[in-house]
Amino acid sequence: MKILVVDDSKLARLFLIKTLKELEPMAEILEAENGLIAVELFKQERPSAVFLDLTMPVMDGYEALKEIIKIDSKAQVVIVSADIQAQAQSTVLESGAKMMVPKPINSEKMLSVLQQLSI
Amino acid sequence: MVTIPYPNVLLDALEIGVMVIDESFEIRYWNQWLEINTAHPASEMIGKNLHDFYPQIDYKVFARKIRTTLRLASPTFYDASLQNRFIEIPRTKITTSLLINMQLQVTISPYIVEEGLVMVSIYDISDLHELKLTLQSQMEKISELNCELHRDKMIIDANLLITKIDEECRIVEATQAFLEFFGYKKESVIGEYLSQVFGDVSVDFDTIQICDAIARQQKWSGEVKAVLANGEEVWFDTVVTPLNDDENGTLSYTVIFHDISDKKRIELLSITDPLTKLFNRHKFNEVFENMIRRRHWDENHTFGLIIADVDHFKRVNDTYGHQSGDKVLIEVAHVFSQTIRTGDILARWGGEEFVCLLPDVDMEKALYVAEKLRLAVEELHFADAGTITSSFGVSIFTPGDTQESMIHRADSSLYRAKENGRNRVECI
Amino acid sequence: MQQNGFTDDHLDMLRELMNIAMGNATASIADLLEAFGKMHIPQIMISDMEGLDSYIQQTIPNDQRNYVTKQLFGGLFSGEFLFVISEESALHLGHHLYDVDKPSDGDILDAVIELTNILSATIISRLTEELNTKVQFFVPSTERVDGNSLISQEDIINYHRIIIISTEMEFQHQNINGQIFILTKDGMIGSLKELIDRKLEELYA
Repeated sequence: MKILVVDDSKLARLFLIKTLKELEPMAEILEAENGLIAVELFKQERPSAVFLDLTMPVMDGYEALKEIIKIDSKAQVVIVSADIQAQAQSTVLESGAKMMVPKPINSEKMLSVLQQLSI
Repeated sequence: MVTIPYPNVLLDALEIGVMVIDESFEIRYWNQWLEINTAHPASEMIGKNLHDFYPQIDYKVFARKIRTTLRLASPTFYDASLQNRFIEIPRTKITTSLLINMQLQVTISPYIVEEGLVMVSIYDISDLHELKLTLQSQMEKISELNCELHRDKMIIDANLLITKIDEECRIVEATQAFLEFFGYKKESVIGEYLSQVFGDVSVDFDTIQICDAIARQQKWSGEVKAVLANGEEVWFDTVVTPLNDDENGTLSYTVIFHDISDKKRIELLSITDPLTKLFNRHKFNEVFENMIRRRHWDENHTFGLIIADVDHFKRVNDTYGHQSGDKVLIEVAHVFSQTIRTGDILARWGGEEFVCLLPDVDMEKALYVAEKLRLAVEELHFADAGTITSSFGVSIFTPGDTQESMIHRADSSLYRAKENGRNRVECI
Repeated sequence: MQQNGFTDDHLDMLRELMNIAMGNATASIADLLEAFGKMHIPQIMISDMEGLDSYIQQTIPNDQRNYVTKQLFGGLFSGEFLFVISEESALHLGHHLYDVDKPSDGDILDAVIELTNILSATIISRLTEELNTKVQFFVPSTERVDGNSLISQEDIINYHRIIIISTEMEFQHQNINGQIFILTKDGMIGSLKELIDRKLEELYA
């Protein structure tokens, strides 16, 4: 099982991966630091799930989400963002994201996320 | 954690107003400070709505602030620089009337979030605000003064001839008016010696006077002559004032010039004989009077008076015409002024008569000068009249002398010189 | 890059925490304004007074009048919260919050204070919460400033190490945006570093 983690902050990725690994020790983790790299990686590796940040340089999460859904409309994208505005949530859900979780994700939240994904 | 058994005592000791209020503005607590300063006792307020007592507050804003405080569980504030955004509390200060109501600093803190209660603390910052207002008005005055100062400076710069010079008489600053008047560019004046800007060696004497005053670090005023860039000669009434430069502790000088060329021209006209350009009789009398009055003359320090008369001048006039006669007078005046010393005073007395005052001479020296003058005239040669001669009468000041007495003696001596055959010097 | 013991990890952590804090703040303001705010990537810089001055000059246009609100906060992480909003934005804000066509100077000032209140309370509270420490807020003050000289000439030459955390608040449709600066200096940098160190230890454990 491959999981793609996208965030411009190295520590944010590290934190997310750590929480993820506690629950899914066998998962193969792919990392990207912006939307552009994420889309490229998604094209090549077809991960079973994507954890995607919104505010990033080069290409932001909104754009990357659209590109990924274009490639695979069934892609399981979880938006992980500090932006907790209701409108941000409705925008990404409309664009095809599976769900949106506010940062930072703790184990409890991660568990509920993983339970809702089909991986 | 220590619980405080008497929170009221604590709140009253803080000298701040404290109320507890809910989201619908119902008052739950009203401390002693508020009781005293608003004249509303707690018993009257508690359980009542703040709106009933203070309808002028913007309750929409207040409600929002309370909501924010509760939601964020963090204090919110009213802007303390504004007046009367919250309740009005009259001020009792009598000595100044800047603020009629207290200037309040209002903080809304969460009290019991679950019950929707907030604590409103009210600080009286009137004194601070008063200071701020005073400071503001002072600052406004200062900036007004600065504006005026700037305006004055502009007026001065555009209209007055002022330079600042250093201890070596070099120009440090010059007003625009000064530069324009002289016809120089700023860069060709700044750093130059004053004497250089004033041009022409012949007037060096004038700037030397200024530089002398500066060397003595003294105030000085007087008249100086200068030559402008276009060669025109001007006269200035000049005032030199030492200026303590606080910034670097050195002394500089402000030199203010006032153009008195017109006055000088008129003055010159009134004291000059138009034909010979010598002093006229009027000016001579003035100088003569000053000389008798001002100086202390004694037997060892005297001065002399010479009266000169061109011999047979009437004949020159009659024979060769007035123009030739005028030429003779001009030439004689010229040769006289060439012969005498700088400090001697020469004037045309009238007709073909000249007078000369010789400071610090005795009879012997005075006779010597007169003899020199006589020889000088004898050596002149005129196209029409050929050579001419002149006669001289000399008198020396003795204590008790007046203008009249000295002139009388010189005149009598001249008469004697004429009697004795002209072209000679006599004294009594 | 290592400045005052600050590594890239420290800066990254601070940026991420600020991002989270700003997320909360934006949501709070969005709630207040009933609008949607665009999130920007926070900037973290370690600088001196001169650097701070030139950074402010770069960030804030020189040709506008600004409302500048300053609020101090105290605790293990203490410093100054600075919110700069243009006169035009403030007018829109006053208009929006007070629901009047021509908000008075008082309305505008109060609206600016209110916005700053929410911003600072949310951002700093969230930051300090993430850093596991407590914070005390002091009374904010607002002044109108011509241009972008927020630091006096005398202060620029003072030597201080400063951490600048900055980001932009942007509500496009309402034409309301402002600049947020969180400044902390000298001794506080050390204690901030310790707080982040603890956070990093948790992460790497």
